[in-house]
Amino acid sequence: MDTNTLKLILGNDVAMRAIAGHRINPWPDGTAFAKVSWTRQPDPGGVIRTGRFEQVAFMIKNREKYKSTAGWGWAQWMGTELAPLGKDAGFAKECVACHAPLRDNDYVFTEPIGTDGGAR
Amino acid sequence: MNVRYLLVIACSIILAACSVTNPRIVTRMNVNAALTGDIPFDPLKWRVITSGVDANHATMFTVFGNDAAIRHARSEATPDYPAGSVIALALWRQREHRRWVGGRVPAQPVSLEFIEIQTLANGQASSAYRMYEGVL
Repeated sequence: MDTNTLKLILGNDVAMRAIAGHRINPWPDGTAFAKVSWTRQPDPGGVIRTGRFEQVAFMIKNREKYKSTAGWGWAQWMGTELAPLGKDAGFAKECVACHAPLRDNDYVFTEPIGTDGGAR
Repeated sequence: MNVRYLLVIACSIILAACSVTNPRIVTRMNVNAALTGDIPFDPLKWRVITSGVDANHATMFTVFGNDAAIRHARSEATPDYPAGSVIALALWRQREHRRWVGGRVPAQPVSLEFIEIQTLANGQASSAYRMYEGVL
C-alpha cells in the first residue's frame, strides 16, 4: 500500500479489450495491470507533477496458474533500484489480504474509464 | 390449473432474480470520466506521456500520445515531435475513489486538447490544435 503519491493504473491489450467489451468481472486470463507510483512534485504554479519514481506493482490474471492467490499473480518492485518486495512467494498473501474486500469485484480496486456502467 | 399457476409463479421468481442485481457484486466502469463526444481520436487507447493534479482547481490531467508521439517522447532525440505525432491533454474534475479511502480519480471531463504535427506540401512542419470543452 502506498499513499500520498501520484499513480497511474495501466492495462495491457487484453485488459483494454476487456474494458471495451465490458468483460471486467471477472477479468479474462491474460489481463495485466501495472500500478505505477511517483512522489508528488509541486511546480511553481501549484500543479502537482510526478516526482521521484516510488514503485511499480503488477496484477496478472491466470486462474489456473495463480489459483492459490485468488487467480492473480502479484508482483511489486520498489524504488529506482527496483528491489522486489518480499523474500519469497509468500509475500503475495499480503497482496491478496489487502485486495480481499474486493473479492466480488475480482480483487480489483480500479474502475476503468469506460462507456458502460453495467456489471458483466 | 394448479400446474399452470405454479409455472407462472416459477417464471415470476426467475424473472425477479434476473432483474435484481446484488449491489455488492456490481463492477462499474467510470462512466462519468469517459471521453465519448465527437472527437477525432480516442486518447484512452494511447499510451501515457505524463500526468498531474491541480489541487487548487480539483482537477487532474493526463497527457497521452499516439505511437509516433510516444516513440519520440521516450527517445529524447530532438525537441520537435515528428510529423504524424498526435498529443492529447485530457483534463478531468477529481472525485473521491469509491473503494480506496483517500484516493482521488477522474470524474467529469473538463476539456480535451489535441496537437497534431503535420507536414505541409512545402515540407515545413505544422501543428494543428483542437480543443473540446465541457462534458464530452
